[in-house]
Amino acid sequence: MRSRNAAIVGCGLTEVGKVFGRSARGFAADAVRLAVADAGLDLADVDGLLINARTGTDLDLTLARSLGLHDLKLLSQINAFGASAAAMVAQASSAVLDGEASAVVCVFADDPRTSTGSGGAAYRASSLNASGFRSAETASGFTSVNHRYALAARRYMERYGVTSDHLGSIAVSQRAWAVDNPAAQMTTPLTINDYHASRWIVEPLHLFDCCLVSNGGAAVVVTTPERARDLKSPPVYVRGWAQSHPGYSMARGSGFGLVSGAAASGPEALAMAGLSIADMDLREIYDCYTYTVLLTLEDYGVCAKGEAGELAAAGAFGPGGDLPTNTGGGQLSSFYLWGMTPLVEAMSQLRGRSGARQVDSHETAIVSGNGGILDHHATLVLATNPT
Amino acid sequence: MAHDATRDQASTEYFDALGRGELLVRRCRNCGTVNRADFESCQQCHGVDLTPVPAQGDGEIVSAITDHVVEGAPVVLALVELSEGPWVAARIEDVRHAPPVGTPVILRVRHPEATSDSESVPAFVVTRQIG
Repeated sequence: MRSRNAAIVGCGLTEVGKVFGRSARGFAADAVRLAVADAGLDLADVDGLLINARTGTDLDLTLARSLGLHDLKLLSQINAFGASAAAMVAQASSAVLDGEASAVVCVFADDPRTSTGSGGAAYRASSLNASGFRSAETASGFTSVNHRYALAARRYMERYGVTSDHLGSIAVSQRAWAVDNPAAQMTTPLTINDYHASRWIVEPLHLFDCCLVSNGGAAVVVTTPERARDLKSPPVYVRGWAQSHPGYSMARGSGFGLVSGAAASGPEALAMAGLSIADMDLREIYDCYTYTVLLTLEDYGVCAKGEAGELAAAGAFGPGGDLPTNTGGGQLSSFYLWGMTPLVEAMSQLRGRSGARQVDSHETAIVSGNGGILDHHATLVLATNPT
Repeated sequence: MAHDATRDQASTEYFDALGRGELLVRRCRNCGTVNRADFESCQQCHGVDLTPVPAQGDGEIVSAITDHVVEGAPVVLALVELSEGPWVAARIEDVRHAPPVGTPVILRVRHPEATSDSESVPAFVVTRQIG
């Protein structure tokens, strides 16, 4: 537990979803401006910028120049895929606590959707353009990330007796949250029958097991606790963080599909915060698939391995449940901006700005990021109390 | 094959072997651990002296999935654990639905059609149904 913690004092989210006429860099610029304004700061106050971008977009270090940012003390691109947002906040927190910089903006933006297509194609490029060893897998039919996560999910389901009903309960519960999220792309209530009727993406994954594809951008501003006290918005303190990159051997004994980096990074981040998983009011979990929610919650110690599905089916994670989880609808039902999706929702809830979906107890949150095929994990523990 | 397998400098030996019907793995000369063909150092001891050897070809399913979309008939894909230990991501031929974990399989390399530029790729068939 630390005596002094960095604070997130601003959060910006552009319009998200089927939003056209802007590139990733444009969305990023908007998100930075929104976050800085939300903090009650000016762009001239920013002396650090951390950028996360999908390969193939126009978002890179030149964002700083296009925003007119001068004499930055910290400027980098960070990429651990879905773990990047939490990794950026962790680095920004260290930087402001050490005095390397005083106000660091962390931003992600993406533009996979085109007005004529679903946008999924942008996320298949790395499989389809593979050569060498990996191209043998593509030629065999592993043409997307969906296939890899389906393998992970199926292994987990068989090991722990997890059913399609359990996965579907996550989709249903998160849609119920999204109904009251004005930023969400999917706001029509979903039943378990709707879930089962949705088409296969790759069995055992139905359409509603898989995240959305979104255009848009999000950013947060991290500063010192001393500065945070003078700003207009209630600060959210970054109490703990940790990364874990398991390095699955993909050979006999590998835990692929059964355990994620959440198992190591969750307890470590909580220990830094001086808090336990039972202290968390909110769980904002990286949900590229319904399955990763179950896996991550179990690895964080919310329940024993194999038990999250039953909790989901009983409604524990949905509105009115004992363990509010992915309270904005998550990547499944609100929008998909990599690790910014859970972070933005955590900020909204912790500051009491979530309107009809606001959770009563909202002082602490655990936020996860998951990148690659469960290869990269980063955890944040956020709280409204400074220490 | 809808997508071609294409060799690069690192995979020349691997695809040459598949053309002969063999699946290469890499045995560590230091500790004897058998590694995947695409690993640069031993997963066990980090040794770099890895010798390519043909896998026996037998193994069992770690996880299998069914793709109903990509082709007319369902395509079954799996992670197969070779008896030597490494996992291979490959197609399971002659089945229409994903077999359970632990199903024994044996290597049956898929060779491209004569008109294709693709390399041969590993695939497996079920040797005994379980469950």
